[in-house]
Amino acid sequence: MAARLRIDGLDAFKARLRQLPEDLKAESRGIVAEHVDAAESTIRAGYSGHRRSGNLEKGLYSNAKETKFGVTSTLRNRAPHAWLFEVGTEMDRRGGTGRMPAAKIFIPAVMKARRDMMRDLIDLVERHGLKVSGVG
Amino acid sequence: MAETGAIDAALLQLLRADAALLAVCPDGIQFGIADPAAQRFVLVDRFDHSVDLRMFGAAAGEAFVYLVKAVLPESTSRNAREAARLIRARLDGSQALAADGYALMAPIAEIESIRLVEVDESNPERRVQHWGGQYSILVQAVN
Repeated sequence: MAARLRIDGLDAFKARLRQLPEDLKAESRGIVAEHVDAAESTIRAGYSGHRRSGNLEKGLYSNAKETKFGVTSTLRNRAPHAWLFEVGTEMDRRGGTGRMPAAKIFIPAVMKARRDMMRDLIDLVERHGLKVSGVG
Repeated sequence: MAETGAIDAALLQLLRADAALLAVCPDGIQFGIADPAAQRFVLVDRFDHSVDLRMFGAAAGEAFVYLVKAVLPESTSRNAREAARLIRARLDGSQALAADGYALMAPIAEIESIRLVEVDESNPERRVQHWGGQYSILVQAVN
């Protein structure tokens, strides 16, 4: 005896899946921008407490890009001494106060923004009916 | 009660047990900012600590990120490179961290390397090598 299984609605489901990345991208754009802006503001505020030439603040910039399926944003500091400032110095660079400890401004701010962004992106895809698990 | 200082202490203890690393960096393993007299040392600093609240409505784990770098006042990078190699050998993939009140949830992992040469602005011939990495530690409080 022949058996047949009929499932209605698959065409609509496939069409919805094809559309999902575009929907997600549109909503994720705002989430990514919000957290990059928050990190940038936190970093600028942190730098302002150490201002000498202002070059650390001037060197900070973000760069957003979009592909068909995704949104990325990069936060960078092009000041030559930004990395040294972040991880500390051995030599006296503050006029007689000795070696400088790691500033710990950029990296903690970016790590927090990344965690917060991930939480909001998970909420976003779950609102679209997807289940997220195993996120460390 | 678990407290985060236990992770700092355990990491310092793990590094201080490495005789080969101390031979290259004889002024020891220092936290935050080195003693004024220290010249050749390993510097450890905590960059980040976060509590994962996404599971079961309570903390599922805690993540720490540390800066661990050798600091050597030399014009060549040979010893700094060796110190960084020893730091990596000691930490990356290690499950030997023993912190009061915590259980290690995953091997320690190097998440980024650090290498830079600091040049004295008043004497360009004087240089200091900084070489090491950022290390991630995932733990669970057990009491």
